[in-house]
Amino acid sequence: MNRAWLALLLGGFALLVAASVVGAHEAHAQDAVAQPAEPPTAWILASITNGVMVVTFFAIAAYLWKAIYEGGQLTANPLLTGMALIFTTCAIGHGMHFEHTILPYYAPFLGLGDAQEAVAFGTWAQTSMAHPLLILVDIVTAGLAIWYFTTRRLQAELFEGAELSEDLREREIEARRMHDSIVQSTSEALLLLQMGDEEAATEALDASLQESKEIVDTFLAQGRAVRIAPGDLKLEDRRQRTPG
Amino acid sequence: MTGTWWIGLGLNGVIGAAFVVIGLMLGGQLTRKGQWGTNRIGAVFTALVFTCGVGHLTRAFLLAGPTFGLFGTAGVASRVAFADWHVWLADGVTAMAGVFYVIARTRDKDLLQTTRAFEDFRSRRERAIRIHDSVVQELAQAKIALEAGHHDEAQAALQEGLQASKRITSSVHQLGDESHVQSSKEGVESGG
Repeated sequence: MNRAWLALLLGGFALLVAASVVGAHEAHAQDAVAQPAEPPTAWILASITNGVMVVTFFAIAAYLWKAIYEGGQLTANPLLTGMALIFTTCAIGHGMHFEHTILPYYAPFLGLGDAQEAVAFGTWAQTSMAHPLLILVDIVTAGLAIWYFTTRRLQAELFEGAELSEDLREREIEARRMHDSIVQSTSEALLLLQMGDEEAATEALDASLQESKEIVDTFLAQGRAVRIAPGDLKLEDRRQRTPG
Repeated sequence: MTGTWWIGLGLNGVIGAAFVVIGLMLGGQLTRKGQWGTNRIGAVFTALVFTCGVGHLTRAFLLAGPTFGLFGTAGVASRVAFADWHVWLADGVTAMAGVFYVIARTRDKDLLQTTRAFEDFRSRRERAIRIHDSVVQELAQAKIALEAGHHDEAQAALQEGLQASKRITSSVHQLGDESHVQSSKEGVESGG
């Protein structure tokens, strides 16, 4: 299955490189097409959807860069860094499309280079974004981005750190393992202690302790580069108890 | 003016292909695990990445269109708009990051089988610290107290450890189908 994805990616890549090479040979062919005097008004919709994407993608990117910075994961976690780069550059790219569509309205006032050329370029950019298919995809993408943020905010308790999506099955297995090993054996130790069977209680307690240590090890290790700073594993909220 | 649009075509094609592949990878796992209905965040995120891919592929088709007499003014306008080197730069980095992500993900055997986009090591470490602080420490204290013959103190520490482990278990298992752990949980609560 994974090879199929890679084949699809490489196939698409090869096809587009070929199209690019063909395109390079007739690059100037369209210069003769006259610039549209008035772009379709649908560009306004495209501009708004691009604006929404800029805000949401930058917000997602900010989450990710914060996690990279705070966890020192820039080189240790390539998938996180890759995803952060994707969202950052997507936000910048859509930001440029947004900026190009409004170029005709502010360039003349700011004296940015040749204002007439900027207005012309902006008009082309507006026209390029006004294609119905592109607008449809942009609306769906912007809608999904808003939906994603709203849903994520409502389900905030599920997310720890910068995770963008979770695997409920894994969480379930993790919860079951913790429950079946730690909770069960600790309950057993407590019950046995209350019944006065000290030896069996100690055994159950040892099992529980061992299992919880193994779970901690599982989280920390698994061959992944995780930095543990001095003092990270200290008890933070030790309750004062009077000896029994 | 439009002589370099083909760079935009190549880059948008690569970005589109990479995003569609990422969407298919995540979507495939959602389908395999039957989580399209229950894992709303995963489903929406997957759809978001997928439509981003479709958007870039659409742009690539618009750029290629005039060569085949398609898309008319919109195609030509795209070529003008994508002749700006600033746009290539952003698209170039996105394309590289997209391909890099796909390759890195296919190499990560653990992540390949999940619906997660990546794993945040920091949150993993925090979960480990939480279990260590609240459960391991309490259980260790109970063991020491038990060995020293302080039964009351051992019981108190065990109670604390038990409560903490239940709390963590339920926080880990916030969403999704709870039926799988329900039966054994009831067993413990009645026993403990």
